[in-house]
Amino acid sequence: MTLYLFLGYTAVWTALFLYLLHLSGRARHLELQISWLRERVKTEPRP
Amino acid sequence: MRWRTAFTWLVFLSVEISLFLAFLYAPPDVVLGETQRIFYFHVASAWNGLLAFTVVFVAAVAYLMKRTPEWDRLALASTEIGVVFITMGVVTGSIWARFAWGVWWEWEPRLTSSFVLWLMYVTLLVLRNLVEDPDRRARLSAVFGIVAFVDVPVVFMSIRWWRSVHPVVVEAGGKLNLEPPMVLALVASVISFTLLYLLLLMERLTISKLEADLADIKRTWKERTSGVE
Amino acid sequence: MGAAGAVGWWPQVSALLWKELRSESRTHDSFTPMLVFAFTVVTVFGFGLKLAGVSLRPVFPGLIWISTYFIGFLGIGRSFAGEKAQDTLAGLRLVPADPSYIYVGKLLSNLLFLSALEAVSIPLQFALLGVEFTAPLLPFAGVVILGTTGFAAVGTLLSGLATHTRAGEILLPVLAFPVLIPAIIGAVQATASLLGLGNALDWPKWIGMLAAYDVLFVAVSLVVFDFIMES
Repeated sequence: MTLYLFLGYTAVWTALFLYLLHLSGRARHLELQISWLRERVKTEPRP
Repeated sequence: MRWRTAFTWLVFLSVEISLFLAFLYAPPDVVLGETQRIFYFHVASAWNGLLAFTVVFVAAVAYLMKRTPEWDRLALASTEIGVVFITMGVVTGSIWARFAWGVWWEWEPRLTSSFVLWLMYVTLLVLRNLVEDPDRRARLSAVFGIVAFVDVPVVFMSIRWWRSVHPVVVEAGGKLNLEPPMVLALVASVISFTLLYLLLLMERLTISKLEADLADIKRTWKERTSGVE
Repeated sequence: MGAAGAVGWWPQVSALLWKELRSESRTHDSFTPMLVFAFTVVTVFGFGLKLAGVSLRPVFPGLIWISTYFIGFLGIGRSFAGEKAQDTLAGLRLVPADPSYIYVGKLLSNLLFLSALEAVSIPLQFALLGVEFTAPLLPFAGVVILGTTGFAAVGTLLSGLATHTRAGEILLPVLAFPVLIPAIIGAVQATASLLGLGNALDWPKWIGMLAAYDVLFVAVSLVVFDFIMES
């Protein structure tokens, strides 16, 4: 019984953790985009 | 960023280890049997709620003194995560009540206090949504964060006294006799949840920082295109 | 309270208190609605509970405090609404005295209004809901005063806070009730003890708790109030 509970919770926790990794990866990606955008806003000639 | 990846995996491992300790290593409780195992995560969640709200208080005081947006972002991040943890604490507490006392809700001092705590910090999040100007939002929510935190010990004490004047309906959940493996599982849960709190806090702060940067870029661009120069 | 300038602190408090009383006596903007609401609440309790044919005595301490706080929010929520509508807060802040005078002035005027209101509403509830008044008068009055002071201390501070949000004064009960929970517990338990419900020897303990609550929240409000008034 407790073994199944352990396995079940491990599965849930792993899924949540992978989702967290995915989100944090997206945050890294956005970080790059935003720093790129910041440079561009400074240097781009006015329309 | 290397250490951050390492830390993320450390959190994964430590939660996994405490799952192992809570489910497989610690023996079942003599009275409550297997249901007692919820206790490890219940205590860890509630503890993290308190920790998070303490951080909110410190960040609120620091914001009012320094007036830098970083402190407000810390207060916001910690409020959100604290609400998540205290919600888990109250929900697991209610499940505990169901199996230990036979009812889903018992107006027991700790459970009730956690519920009031939950109420106050959900209110703080509501308040944040109702103020547009960022400086004013930071200032007002810092004031409420301080008032709420000062109230916490008073709430705990008054509820304790209040319950003590009523007839004891339920005998205090079977005094837990913690055996050493149980203590180890409890300590591991508290540590791993605290690490999880820190990880979530860092991620939330990164996102806040990105939001602020983006707003900044938008403002710069507006200024440039509207021909202020 | 270092009065930072030529103008003293207490004269400012009393000037503000006077202003509140005068404007209220001229307009009756908040006292009249509160008084009418007090009558309405008793009627609603009567129809909703009394006519069910059960004795209200066991729940009466809860009833008076819940109704008092609800009626109180009606008036206390407007503490700063007028100042905001007429843009007079900036004027109050220009006075070269410690800004805490604004809080204390508003707190005292709120306390006066609430006490006047309770002098009517509490006897009214005892009479119309058919609950015999068996409490010793002086301790009972003490509980009412302390319970009201705690309510006014938190209410005045958070009313200033709520005024500066998009929701305005509607937000006040939402913000204040969780913070007021210890005051509600203390006031209800002390009242119950004085009315002979529960332990008759408990009330000094609860009065002590209420007094501590009042002192704590007046002190905290004096410290943080200035931050609310900045905008």
